Amino acid sequence: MYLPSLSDASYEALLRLADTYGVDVPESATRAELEEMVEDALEEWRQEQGDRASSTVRVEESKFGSPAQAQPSDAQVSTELPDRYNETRVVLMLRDPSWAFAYWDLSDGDRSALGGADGFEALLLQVHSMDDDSEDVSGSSDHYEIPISLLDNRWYLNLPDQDRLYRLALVARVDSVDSVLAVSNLIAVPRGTVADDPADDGTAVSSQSVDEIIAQTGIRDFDVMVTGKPVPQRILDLVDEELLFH
Amino acid sequence: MKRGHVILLLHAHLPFVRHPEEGSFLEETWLFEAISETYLPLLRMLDRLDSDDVPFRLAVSLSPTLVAMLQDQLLQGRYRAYCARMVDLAQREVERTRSQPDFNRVARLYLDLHEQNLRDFANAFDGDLTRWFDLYYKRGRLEIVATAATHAYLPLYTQHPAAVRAQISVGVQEHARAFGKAPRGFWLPECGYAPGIESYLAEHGIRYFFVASHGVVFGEHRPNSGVYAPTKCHNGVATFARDYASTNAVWSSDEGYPADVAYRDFYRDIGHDLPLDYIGDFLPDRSIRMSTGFKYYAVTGRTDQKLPYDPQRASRKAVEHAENFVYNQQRRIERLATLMDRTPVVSCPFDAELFGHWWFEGPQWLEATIRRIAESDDLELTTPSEYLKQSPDLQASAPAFSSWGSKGYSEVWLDGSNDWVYRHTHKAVERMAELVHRFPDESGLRRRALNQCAREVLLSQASDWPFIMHAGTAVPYAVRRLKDHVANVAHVYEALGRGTVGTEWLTRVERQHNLFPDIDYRVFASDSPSPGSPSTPPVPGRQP
Repeated sequence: MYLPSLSDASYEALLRLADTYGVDVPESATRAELEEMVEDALEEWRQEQGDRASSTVRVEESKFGSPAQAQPSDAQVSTELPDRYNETRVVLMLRDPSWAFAYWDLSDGDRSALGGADGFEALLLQVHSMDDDSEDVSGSSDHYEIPISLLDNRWYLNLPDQDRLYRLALVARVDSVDSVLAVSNLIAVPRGTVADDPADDGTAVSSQSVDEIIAQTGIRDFDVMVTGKPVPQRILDLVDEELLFH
Repeated sequence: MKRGHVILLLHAHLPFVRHPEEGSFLEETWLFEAISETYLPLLRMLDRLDSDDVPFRLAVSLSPTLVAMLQDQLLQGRYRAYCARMVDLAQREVERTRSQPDFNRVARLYLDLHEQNLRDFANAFDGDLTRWFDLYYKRGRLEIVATAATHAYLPLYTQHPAAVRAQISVGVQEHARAFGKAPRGFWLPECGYAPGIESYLAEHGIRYFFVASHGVVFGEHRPNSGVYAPTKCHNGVATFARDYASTNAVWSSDEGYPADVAYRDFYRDIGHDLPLDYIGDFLPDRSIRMSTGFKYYAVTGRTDQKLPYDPQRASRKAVEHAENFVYNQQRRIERLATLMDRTPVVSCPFDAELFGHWWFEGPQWLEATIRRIAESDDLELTTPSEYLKQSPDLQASAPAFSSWGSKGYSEVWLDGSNDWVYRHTHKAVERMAELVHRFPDESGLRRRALNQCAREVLLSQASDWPFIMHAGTAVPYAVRRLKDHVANVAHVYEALGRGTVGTEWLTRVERQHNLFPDIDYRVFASDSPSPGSPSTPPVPGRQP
């Protein structure tokens, strides 16, 4: 498992993460303490989620009933795939509203040029929060950096904000000058919450009724990772009143 | 006019597990078990409902890989042999349990089941079960919806429009080939939706699809009808959302109906429990322990001291649970009808293999549920198309990225166990798109090679391979399949680069992976995004 580095996140981003994962941050907390608290909360969250296998997954598992230790019936050794494709690129994949996965590669030419360059300082992943679909990350509204080695080729990235666009840049730092080697595709991170605004479509349904209808969906029990406070309190209050079937 | 509608959708899928290169193959058993325990029992249920004039309507999705296998004569022959082996085992079990009445009646139940399967498979439609489903499709009892060609989990391919488009296009094409008409609806594998997928669905004439509950509840706008009426995307394609509250009562193995102590336990199986001297004849290589489908114990509870399975008690419980399900729907509809400005509809999609394979009594529950709804004054079964015909005025709200997998997004198909896959499957798509660009109008051997390459790209994208790696069930097989398909793409790519395609190699691979007979490799023609496609995701807060 590749864990993200929080050390490059801004203090504000760490505070938002702490809020997302329900961490009470004392006013006196130092940055290092804040990082540690967020990391602990993330680990706790991961363990909790890992213990909950969804019902759909269990049913699907039952379809593939072969014992885990069994080898394929055909004893042929399958083809080995190349580790890399000798191209400089970076690809970003959205996993959920809080995490993305990136994989990348450096061409042989870029790899040897960097390895032999005087003044080569670091290879970095820059996670850019974008305002639009521009491929120019220099104008991004915010970003944080993750130092990587020439041997790394994939990473999981924590996304500080929901309802945002992100792009990734693969950057070489030589003599304190950053060069963008590759820019990823754009991903749109969803809000992961119930929208506050109803559609302006002339519906005759009152806002209170809509809240009750949403409460009937079983929203509190959705087997869905939680980001922030996804269910407005007014809807949760209706769930708590056990409106269903009353 | 009933006060509310219920949509029951059964999604049937298995990956393409056909291995003509071997006399028998362990993973083909996945198909045989599903035929014996799910598909045939469901089809017999349709016959009974029809002969009793029950006014039922169901939605069904049959994946193209499953359809290809059900129509394949090699696999049909192997299934008959499997059935005969199961009858043989059942006869031995009846004899073995003769002095144990509790177990003997269960053994007799299995003997009846497998003998009936053998008869029905021989007599009905020459063993082609897709024609049996089609019978009810043509009669309007079933609405069969299309799904992606090889059940790719589409949100992880959205940066490659050609991949998403090809999965949908071949899925729609295969539906038309199998059933003779264009589909109206589409089942997104694993309910996996990402913004923009609806543009490809619209390109192929699709009018609706399904998403997970939070796909609509967390969508662009607060949904006025919750998940109890479809919404529409900005291009007009309708979105039905799974009702979590209703479906979880059936799905959940902890809290749902299948967890009842009276039902048959899925895990205790004579393939694991009996000595190899006895059961070896029915296991791969006479030594690999695996389930046989012969299970004699009830769920009982959280204990290893399981009680013998009592089929009659379990049947009564299935009816009781059906009544409970219908009662809950009636109460739900009763309340929703006072809140909503339109007729509520409760959408309940399930994996078909839940019924019979995972939950042995599931087909009995389903039949009892359908009969109870038919008798209800308040509820009516409908199909998505029928509902849209009656209630065409939908709230516009773009759905949100979502799936019905664990935690609601993509983690099942993208974690430390399987993330290495995508570097290769994405490259396979890029190579295929490049080949189409370089060879835009080929014929003869090159065309065969390009068409096979397209099949291999699609097969590499099956959601089953990363799923199995995540679940840890048959990992060596999934890894091998994934690597073989990607390697076959590389083989064609390099061979066409050299200008030489080996006929012998191509013929062998064509025979192995013989699905999608009508495929045209140019389905991967463009990797350029269509307007609003997923590669240019909408900026949050700025919907088109």
